[in-house]
Amino acid sequence: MAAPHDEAAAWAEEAARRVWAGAVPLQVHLHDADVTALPPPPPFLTLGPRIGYLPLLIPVIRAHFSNALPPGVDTVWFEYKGLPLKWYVPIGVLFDLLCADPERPWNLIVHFRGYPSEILSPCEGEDSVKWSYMNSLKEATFIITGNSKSVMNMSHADQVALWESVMKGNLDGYKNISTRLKLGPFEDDVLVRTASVERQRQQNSDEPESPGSSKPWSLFDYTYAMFKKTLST
Amino acid sequence: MAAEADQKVVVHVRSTGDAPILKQSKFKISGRDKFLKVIEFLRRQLHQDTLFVYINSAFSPNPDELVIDLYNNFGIDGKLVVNYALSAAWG
Repeated sequence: MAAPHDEAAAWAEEAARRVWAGAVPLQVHLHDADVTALPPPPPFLTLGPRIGYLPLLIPVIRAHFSNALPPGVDTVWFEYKGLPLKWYVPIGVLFDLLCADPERPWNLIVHFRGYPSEILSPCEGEDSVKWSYMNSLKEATFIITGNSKSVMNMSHADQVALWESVMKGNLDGYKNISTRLKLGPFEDDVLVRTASVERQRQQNSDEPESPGSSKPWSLFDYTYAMFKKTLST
Repeated sequence: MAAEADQKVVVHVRSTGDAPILKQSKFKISGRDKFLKVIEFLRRQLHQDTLFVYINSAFSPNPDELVIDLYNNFGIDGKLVVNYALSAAWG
């Protein structure tokens, strides 16, 4: 029989595999004001990888709606029930936080015009998502190790390979490179401090600790928490 | 003990590369503000539309992050060190 530690590691491994392989069934509707064809085009059905990002789906979505789009320059963004979706939050996190009903598939609206730049930071497609991802990685690394050197010292080839593995949902490829960054799991002396967590801790001062802080956090836990936090603010 | 969200945070801005140096390098900002406010302040001061803004010469935080969260996690000696550059300095 496996020791408890091995068992926990095996569970963590299995959880990571499921998240990486997981996808959200999406039904994407073209926003009424962007429709220039009669009859309007049918919605587009696709699987959005849980660890993927909405802007990475734009090429296939644009191809589907190409005959119905207005001429001119596209500025693509997504909406759910009136809420513009933050493009730098992974699809799985958006889905878990916003889609409370058992709504399958998840119905999103895609806009090709009228980017809400007062709400969303600008997105130039894959390059912006990659920039955001690499900086989140550096930020998380800084919390774990006290600096961002392991990410900054990555070779260009490794950076490209790491990003490709995220885009393709290739967990083994990702681990090949990420293990060299020596990121964890890390212990509870390194905690992410957010305003919401601090408030919660004060309110529940007789409870032992906020959930998650008693066990080692992985980089994934951290980035997940960061994304949940940025989404809630 | 981490600082409260409504506390003021001292931001220390430092130029990198050939970015001009500001006369006032330290200023206070509400912890509830988003990092975007720091970026916009620097853009106005420097008359630059494109600016690369980093924490601790290491990473560019998301503009949506709260200043208090950045201070609590990355503040050094009671200050949040923000570096700015006219071109990408730390990728």
